[in-house]
Amino acid sequence: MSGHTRGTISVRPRIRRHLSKLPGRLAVIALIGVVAALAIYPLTRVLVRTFYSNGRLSGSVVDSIVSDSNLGRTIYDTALVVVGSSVIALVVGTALAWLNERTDARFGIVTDSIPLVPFLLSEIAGVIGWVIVFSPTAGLGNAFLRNVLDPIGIHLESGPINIYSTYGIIFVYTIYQVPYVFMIMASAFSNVDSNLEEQAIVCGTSKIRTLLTITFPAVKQAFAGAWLMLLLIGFSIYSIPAILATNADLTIASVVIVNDMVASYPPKIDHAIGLSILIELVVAAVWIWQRRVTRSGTYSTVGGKGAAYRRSELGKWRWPARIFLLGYGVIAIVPPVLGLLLVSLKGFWNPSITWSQLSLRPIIQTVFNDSTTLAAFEHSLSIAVVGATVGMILAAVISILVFRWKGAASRILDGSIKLPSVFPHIVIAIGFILAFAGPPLGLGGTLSMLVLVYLVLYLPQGSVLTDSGVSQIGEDLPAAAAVTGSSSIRTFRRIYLPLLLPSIIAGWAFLFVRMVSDLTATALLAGPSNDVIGFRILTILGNGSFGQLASIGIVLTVITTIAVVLTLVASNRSARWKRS
Amino acid sequence: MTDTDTRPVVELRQVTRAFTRRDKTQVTALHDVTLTIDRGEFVVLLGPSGCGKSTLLRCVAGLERPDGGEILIDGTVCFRSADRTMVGPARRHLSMMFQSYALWPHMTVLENVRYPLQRSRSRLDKKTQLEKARAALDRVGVSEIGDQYPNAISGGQQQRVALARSLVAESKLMLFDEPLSNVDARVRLDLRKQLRELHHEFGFTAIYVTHDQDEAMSLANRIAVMDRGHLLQLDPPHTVYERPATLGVGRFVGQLIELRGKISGQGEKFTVHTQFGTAVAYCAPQHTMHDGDPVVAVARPENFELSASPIPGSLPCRILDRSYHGDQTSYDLESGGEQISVTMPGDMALRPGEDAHVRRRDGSMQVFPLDQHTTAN
Repeated sequence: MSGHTRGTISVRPRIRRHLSKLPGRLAVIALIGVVAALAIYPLTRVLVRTFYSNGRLSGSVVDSIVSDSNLGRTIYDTALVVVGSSVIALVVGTALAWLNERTDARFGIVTDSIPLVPFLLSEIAGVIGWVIVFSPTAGLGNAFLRNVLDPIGIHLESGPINIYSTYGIIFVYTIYQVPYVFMIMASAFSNVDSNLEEQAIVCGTSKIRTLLTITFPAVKQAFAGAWLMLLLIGFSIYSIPAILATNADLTIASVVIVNDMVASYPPKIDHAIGLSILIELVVAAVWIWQRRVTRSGTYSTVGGKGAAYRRSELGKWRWPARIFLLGYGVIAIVPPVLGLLLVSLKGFWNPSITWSQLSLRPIIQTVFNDSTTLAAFEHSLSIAVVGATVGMILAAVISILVFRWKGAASRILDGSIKLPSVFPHIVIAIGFILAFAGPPLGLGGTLSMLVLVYLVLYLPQGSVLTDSGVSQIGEDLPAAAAVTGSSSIRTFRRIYLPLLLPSIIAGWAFLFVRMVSDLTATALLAGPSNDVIGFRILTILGNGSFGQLASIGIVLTVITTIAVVLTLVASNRSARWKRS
Repeated sequence: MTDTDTRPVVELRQVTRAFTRRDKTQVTALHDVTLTIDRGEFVVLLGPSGCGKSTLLRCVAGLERPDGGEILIDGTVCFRSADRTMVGPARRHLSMMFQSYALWPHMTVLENVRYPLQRSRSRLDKKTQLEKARAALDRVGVSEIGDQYPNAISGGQQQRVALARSLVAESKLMLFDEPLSNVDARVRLDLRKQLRELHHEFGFTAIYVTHDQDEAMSLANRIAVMDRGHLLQLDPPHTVYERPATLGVGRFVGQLIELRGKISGQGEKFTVHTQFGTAVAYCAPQHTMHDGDPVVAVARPENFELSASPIPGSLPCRILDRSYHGDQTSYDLESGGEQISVTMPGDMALRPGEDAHVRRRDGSMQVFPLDQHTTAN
């Protein structure tokens, strides 16, 4: 008799157990559902608006595109700049990655990180800096070059370099795309098993041929992925063309779209959506091509047990390669920062520098004494801090759930969180306007709207980092905790969180920088009532004071640099146990 | 009182687990596995890769959820497919040692071992927790590395720390998932010995997974032989070795010599005739013997005797291969159309290609019916 009562389970305790788990689980699921909805609903609105307007089937979007006399020019100019810069960035970035990962040209942490620095400097500050340096007449760099060329008999009235040109724009686009390529290709190259290459060399294949037939095919998938990412990013870049395109006489799609939405009254929604859909179609076509590439043939790089990691020796090419690596860093980083620094310390922009006149006063004047600018900085900082923190915690939780809950539901969840990463930011921003600006939520012109859109835009990249962290932790470590009686919360707190901290911190830095310096979504969604740095810059740009722009730019750069350095320090300390 | 003593610690009733691979093929990891484990037993799940032994262990742990059947631990239903009962691993009050050791890299050795004592419902204070953790480390012989991090100690030391961590909570049921697979031979023997001592001292109930039949036989008081999701035999090591339930079991545990034979006799007493003479025939209960049946008669290498010169009852043979192991030498040889293996103590200095003489030692032989299962592999 007593044996039976022990062996059976009565219904009530079981229900109680389920109910006690319910709030936690439900809350998590609800939260993630909300984020997923935030990601999907705006996109659906854009899709719907393409074909339906005012409640009925409408060809207005298609009409606006078809009747656009400038369409050909827009397509040509945009394609030239975006595709051109992406190809150059691919070549440069892959070369830098290969040199740094697979050869002895690597120069420690310097060459590891230099190609990534433009990541950390916001594009908008960078472009302002480039303009200051290479504007044809007033550019500081041009003035310097003219002074150098003069004594040797070459007299120039302007130039020699004109940033307001097709090559100028492509150059700046490339600088900001190389970091993405470098990151992806460096990671891919670091996974190539040296044994595969050495096998080829033992068979008598020349080094060049080994490179082409063994090494590069092994990273083919990463390469295709990198190109896709570059196109996505490239089509969405607004900061660079906003400043450079008009004077270069180029019509870039992102500028047209933003102008449609904010510079026209009433907003030319149909045209904006039409152009966005066109961009999306191009991206989709490349995505399909990329899927074909990744599916065909063997591109696996891990050699299994005994995979080796050896670097090629470059011999006499070692120092030239190093100079290339370091030189690239210098060229990409120094001119704009120097330009920003000099002009901001002077307070206004002209080619001559009187060193004694430089002081911090203009910066203080522009940023700290100007209440609008100060408010914009405060808003941006608080949005970025809140957004990055919330974003990374969400990313960590989602990555863990997706890893542990195998099955269709979690895959759908993961997919919808990451979905925005395959759409240009401009499309998502328009979606947000359609979905949330008006009733019933009425978020138009609020800071919350900005936080939400930034979350949706940048959460995917954060979650990729935590995905990697979670899969590195593996199944056994949390399982070992579970069998000792550790509840899910406890396992999260004591096992997952400490081990994920490096990924979370790295993601935080990335999200913070991106959110504080975002321009594309900001251009469409920010205004006087929800003023942030990006919008402030665009406003001042309209008034033409480069001195002020330089001050804001340099302060922005200082902020992002501090943030990154702090996170590096924090990351180092959080992984003390790795180095014992 | 009597109930608690005699109640089995683990009961598995028709546990089934199947899953679909990515290419849509169905894999049945466990087929209706039924077994009972009593208090203090050391049961080893033995079988080749993919046989389901790890899956079974993880189902007992609660880390995997079966598709059918029941699992009871200490009388409590931890899984029942009929009413969808599923108790998570944290509430099953057991300990587990992982093949990968699963030491948490961000905690010191001492903190690792202390962790199981920090369950929220535990009554122990911090001082007691640390004392017990140190005692556990001491018991496995690694008391001096308490302040080190796992990545700074050797593989053998990591093993011991993982072992200490499983012992510290004094659970009644301990699960081991191939814990000695990643260690080299010498360390493995030492750890095995230590496991036996600990089992003797603490008297816990253990389920141990391995593919190494040597290890299984030296540790187990009962071996559960598994293949492709089926439980083939659950018996003490001696029985599994001497009286395998199927040819598959016989082949997996130790070396099996299979001879062609023929049954004669009737009623209770049967004999089998092989190349090497006649022997009393024994067959497993699920088969029946009839006069004149062709069968496979099995033997072990130590059931034969090899000699350089003829001995009474021996047959001529030719040495095909020779493998020296220090304490013994095993020979592959061919005699009268049958290929067999023989082990002899020491070294008889017989080389491949030479002729010798072999005879079967006295004793009964187990036979299996000659059907499709007995051909080739």
